[in-house]
Amino acid sequence: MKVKLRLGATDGWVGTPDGGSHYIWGFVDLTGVPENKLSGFRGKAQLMAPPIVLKVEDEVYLTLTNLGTPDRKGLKEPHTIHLHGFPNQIPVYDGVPEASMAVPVTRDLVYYYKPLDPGTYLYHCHHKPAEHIQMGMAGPLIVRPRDFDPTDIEYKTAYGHGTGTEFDREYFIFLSELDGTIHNLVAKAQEPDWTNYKPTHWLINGRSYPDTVNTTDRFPGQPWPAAVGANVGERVLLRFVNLGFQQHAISIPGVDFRVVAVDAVRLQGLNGEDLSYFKNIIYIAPGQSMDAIFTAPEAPDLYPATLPLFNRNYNKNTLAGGEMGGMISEVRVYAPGTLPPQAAPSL
Amino acid sequence: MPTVNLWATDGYVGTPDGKNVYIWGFTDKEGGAAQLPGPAIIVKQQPYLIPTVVTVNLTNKLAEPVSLVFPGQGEVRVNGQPAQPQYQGDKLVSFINHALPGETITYQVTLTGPGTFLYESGTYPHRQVQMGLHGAMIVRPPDYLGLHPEKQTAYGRNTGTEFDREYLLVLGEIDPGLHQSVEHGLPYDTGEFNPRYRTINGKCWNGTVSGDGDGHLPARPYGSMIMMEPGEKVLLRCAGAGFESHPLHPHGNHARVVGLDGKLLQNCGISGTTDLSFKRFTILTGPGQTCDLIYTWTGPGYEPDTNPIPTRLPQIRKMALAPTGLTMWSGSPYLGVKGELPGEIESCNQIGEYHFMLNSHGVPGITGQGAFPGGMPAMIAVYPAGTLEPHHGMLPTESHTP
Amino acid sequence: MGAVIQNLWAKKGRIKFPGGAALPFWGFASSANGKPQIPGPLIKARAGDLVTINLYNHLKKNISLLFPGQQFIPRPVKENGVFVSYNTPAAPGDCTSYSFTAARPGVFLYESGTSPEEQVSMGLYGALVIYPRGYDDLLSPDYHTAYCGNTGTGFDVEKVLILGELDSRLNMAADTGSRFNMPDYNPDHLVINGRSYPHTLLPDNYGLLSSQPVGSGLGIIPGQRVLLRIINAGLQNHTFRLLGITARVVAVDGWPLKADENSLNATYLKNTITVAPGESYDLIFTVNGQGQYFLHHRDFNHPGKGNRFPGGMATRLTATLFESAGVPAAPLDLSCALINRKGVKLSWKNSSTGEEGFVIERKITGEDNIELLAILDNPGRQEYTDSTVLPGISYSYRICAYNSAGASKHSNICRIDTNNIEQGPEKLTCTTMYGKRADLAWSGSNARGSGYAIERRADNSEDFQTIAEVGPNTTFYRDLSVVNNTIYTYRVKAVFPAGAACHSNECVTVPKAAPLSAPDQLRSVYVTDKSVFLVWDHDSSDENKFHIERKTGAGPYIEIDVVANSQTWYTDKDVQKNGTYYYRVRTHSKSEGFSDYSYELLVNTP
Repeated sequence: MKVKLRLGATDGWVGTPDGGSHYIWGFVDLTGVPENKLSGFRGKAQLMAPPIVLKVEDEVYLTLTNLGTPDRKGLKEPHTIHLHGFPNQIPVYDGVPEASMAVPVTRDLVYYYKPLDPGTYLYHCHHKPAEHIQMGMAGPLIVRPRDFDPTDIEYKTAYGHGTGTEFDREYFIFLSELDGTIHNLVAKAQEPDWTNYKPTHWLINGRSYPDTVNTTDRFPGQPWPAAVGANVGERVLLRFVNLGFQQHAISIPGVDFRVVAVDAVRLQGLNGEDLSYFKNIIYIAPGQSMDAIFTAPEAPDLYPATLPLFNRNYNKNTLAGGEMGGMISEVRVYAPGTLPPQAAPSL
Repeated sequence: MPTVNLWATDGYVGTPDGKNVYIWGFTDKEGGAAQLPGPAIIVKQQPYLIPTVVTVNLTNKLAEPVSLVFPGQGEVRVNGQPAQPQYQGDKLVSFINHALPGETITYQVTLTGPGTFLYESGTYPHRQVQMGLHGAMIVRPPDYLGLHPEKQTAYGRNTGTEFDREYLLVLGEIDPGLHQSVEHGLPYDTGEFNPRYRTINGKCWNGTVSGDGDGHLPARPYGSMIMMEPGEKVLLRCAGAGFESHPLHPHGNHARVVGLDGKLLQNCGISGTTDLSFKRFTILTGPGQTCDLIYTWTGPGYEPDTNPIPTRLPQIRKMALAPTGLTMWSGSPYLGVKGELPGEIESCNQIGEYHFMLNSHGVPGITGQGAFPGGMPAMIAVYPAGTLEPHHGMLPTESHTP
Repeated sequence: MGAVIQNLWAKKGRIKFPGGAALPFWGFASSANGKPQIPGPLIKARAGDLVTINLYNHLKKNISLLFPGQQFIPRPVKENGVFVSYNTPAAPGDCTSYSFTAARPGVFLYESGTSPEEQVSMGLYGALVIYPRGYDDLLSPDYHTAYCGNTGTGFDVEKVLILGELDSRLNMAADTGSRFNMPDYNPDHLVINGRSYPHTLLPDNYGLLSSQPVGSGLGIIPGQRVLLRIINAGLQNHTFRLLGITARVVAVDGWPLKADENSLNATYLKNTITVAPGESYDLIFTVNGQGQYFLHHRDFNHPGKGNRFPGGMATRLTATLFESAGVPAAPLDLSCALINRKGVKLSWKNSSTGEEGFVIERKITGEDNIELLAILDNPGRQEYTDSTVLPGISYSYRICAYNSAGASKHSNICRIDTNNIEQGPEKLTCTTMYGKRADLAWSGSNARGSGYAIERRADNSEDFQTIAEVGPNTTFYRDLSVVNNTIYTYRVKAVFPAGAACHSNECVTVPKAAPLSAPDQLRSVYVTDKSVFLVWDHDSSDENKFHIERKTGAGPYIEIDVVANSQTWYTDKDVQKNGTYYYRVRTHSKSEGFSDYSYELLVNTP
């Protein structure tokens, strides 16, 4: 199927629960927006960048439009999209400006790809990537298997029928860090020294706890909460992506993860060996993705039971060094039949 | 049996911002300056059941004891005796027998099998390994035969590790402050370790995109410009010689991890062989660890006439090109085709080859002294079929045969 | 199915590190009157057992426990919708109880679930080892296995290594009730089982480390199957190396990589592993030869407190053909003697053969506090010199021998008073550094004094003057207050609280201006058949000139031009097609003459 998508690159502002606000650069979904309405999206970058959902054999035409940075008017920063993990890409669609080209302010570029392998991928800007990723130009991308059918439990899978990746619900756990000092310097048009990188906030889906579990719509620049919900016994697929610069170690006490795929590749050996494995800590490096499935555990008397999800690097679970915050979220387990079937990931 | 002569000595390496950093390192040339990383020791294993013993003579031209450890190898003997940790008074000095200043020590190392390994100093390693006293050791399987389609392998015939070309990537970091302290005899405090440069084979961008033996970088002999043709299997031997983990992301395709710490990811049992290799788009090489990857890029086969790319490119002149003043791009979307680039753009592209970045996703991993690019990005260059010499990129079968 | 009940008392305590540092910590004790320990008591159970933990809180904050990896559903507590504890806490002075069924074999953590960034860092953690049901039944296939029969996890020797870190600043802050800024977390003490090397080598229950009762030295016989269970209770990744050993990874997070006889064998070999916070790795290996093997942190930027090597997260495995004869015999006939400028020399007779090393303990005669002065981590020693003594004090010493089976009884006590000792710095050297500075280095620790005074005499004066005072552990000083081309004489004086002082030898130096550095990174940016464009780097700001030299083929170098300092490039227009040219550049200043040459650059014209 031919899929036409459009992303705008621009700037914006996001908040953290300690009352801080941070200047960002990021992407915003422009798919279907008429040309004469594009300027209304300037300054409306989102953190994390909008999730992209594709299907195997889709012919994807992804247009990047550089809307400029209204809060840094003098800045004429070009941008690109690097579709991280897509095999056999060619350089003009790979988004590396040193090996092809970048998109200057007011210009467009169409990136084409036809995904053949399902999985959890990521995308980000590759112009001055340390700066542009840190500033927020990064998001998740999933490719569904060709036989994906959300209404049939045998075909609601991450990697296709018969791959042992059936799930009832799915959520993004998109990990990143934010160095408030660097964002502040960029906002003031000053040059940061990246070797002094020292994050002040750790984020899941662009938010720091407790905003991660806040389902109100008061976060226009950060529209994706990270609370996980499931009825007892349901299989929950967590799509982990790390686009920070540090390794992270995510844990949910009371839950055993079965890791079914890493880097959008189902865990199997050359001869088809099933190499999926159980883990209690999801240790994930920058630029990696992992798909892990767990069964919502029984917790009689407690429904809805709340299981904390946190980074076992406990020093990353604070708000700028103060209150509990950062890479923390919740898994809520409900009595059977409480939650209706899930319509879209990461709700 | 192979004999390797190494000298531990000092020298300087240049950085992209024009500084010279004092290093300690190994050289295999008497009177030579220190190399970063040390000379690759490449040996071929003896046939099955015959032990392979490598003799390494280390001469210490530095002012403090220096030693060599060989993680992942078998027994190490010094003067016929098993090597042992060395103490001075009540303090551990070396994990293994060392050479005092001016002395030569002989290690006899029994190999355990094919793979990619590190060797590094086992004396005051917090200082000596950071200063550059480390290198890689490659052990080839006994049936290795260069340019033979089934016998040019990392781990032996029928292990699924055939390759067409191979590259060694020794990953590390340089904290110039610590190097300066050592150079001037000042107190050395690794608690303040703040590496300003991330390196592949001792080089930062743009050094990483030059070939072997680059005359501008005499202290760093190994290139990390990875050159290949479509469909070829490229063996990338990654060795984490520094103190940090480096998540390397090859653009263009996943890489299949076939070995860790020089051990094939395969188990044999009564019921047959279990393959444990795995594909990754980001490969984390931890400190002191190694990782053998096989990378392939086949491509979608676009041709200007028969199979054109499915989008219309904008006018190149209106796009942002060559962000650092220079581009690796040909100006054309097609492999083997040179396009038109605006006249003021300097292109390093030779014959329309494709360039894919191989970069660290860890922080300042892709910056040098805090600015991009610098640090760790290297390039994978895919040349049109039939344009590269068959031996291009190949390391010698053995490095130190008598 | 059995039942395991473990009582834990959470308390404040103090832990010790090599070199005499001590820190407040919070830990668990296994009895009401016991000392808290780091890590907490090792809890052992068998699969299927009902495990009950009774937690008594003797701290001033709420604490709770989490059991990651167990089928245990925590009951978080929230205030204003935000977690304040991940599980039901015990208030100060209260007790709470947790129980769960130990579902599967493996090595796991138990740890605080309340402000864990502070409480786990302070030491509120321990390990839980669950064995297969038939683990101690000789007739069971599970006998002496980590994960049941058919999982390839049979072993002869088992050792649990719990990795951890402490940031002294966090411990000091938490102890006084103030908050530490977590993004500044940068641990300075790295530990295995709560101890830093070389304390790790001391046997379990070593008397002076009463809150760090677990050693991690290993004594084995070659050929024995060793099960090493590494679990990371810290907040950071740690990379651990088994030097000279290649181990098989048989389980991760308590999940065996070969689950039973029919399942895939996904075990693999490693010699160095990175363990993330909360992760556990079970490794099995054998060693064939006798000797010592170090098991150490490969993150060499963290060697130990004060960034000295060795230290921190390291321990040692000793393989000997004969099983250790048990606890070594006590050293005999300890005697003490004063040696000027060195300290107190201890000598003894070694009456043991199976020791791994010796421990020196010291106290000031008449006082209570015994200090763990030094660990001599090598066998066969018969003497030791204590260079940290102060003049005018009476000291008492005793020593013992140790191995992994335990520590010997103490030797006799010897006493000595230091009224007549001469002590002070020695071997002072001055290094001539370029550029208005002089570097001094000396030997001798003055840990018991208040420091050193640096004294200097310039060539035109007669008296030494004190130009600086530095701390007692310093053995280096850089004098930046010099004038170039002046003759300076230095000496260093040890300063003691009582006022006694000794001088070092004298040394002389003449600081000089820096020589010119050579041009660097000479490169050709643009080459045609008519011209060669050269660029180089130079950081000099002086009024220098650059001299460009060229040679053609095998001929000599000829200077072809001179350009001003501000110009770090040159175009050679006098070249021909298909020519081979070598270039080099040096710089020159009136005051300092010529620098070295740059690298030689080869250019072939098209």
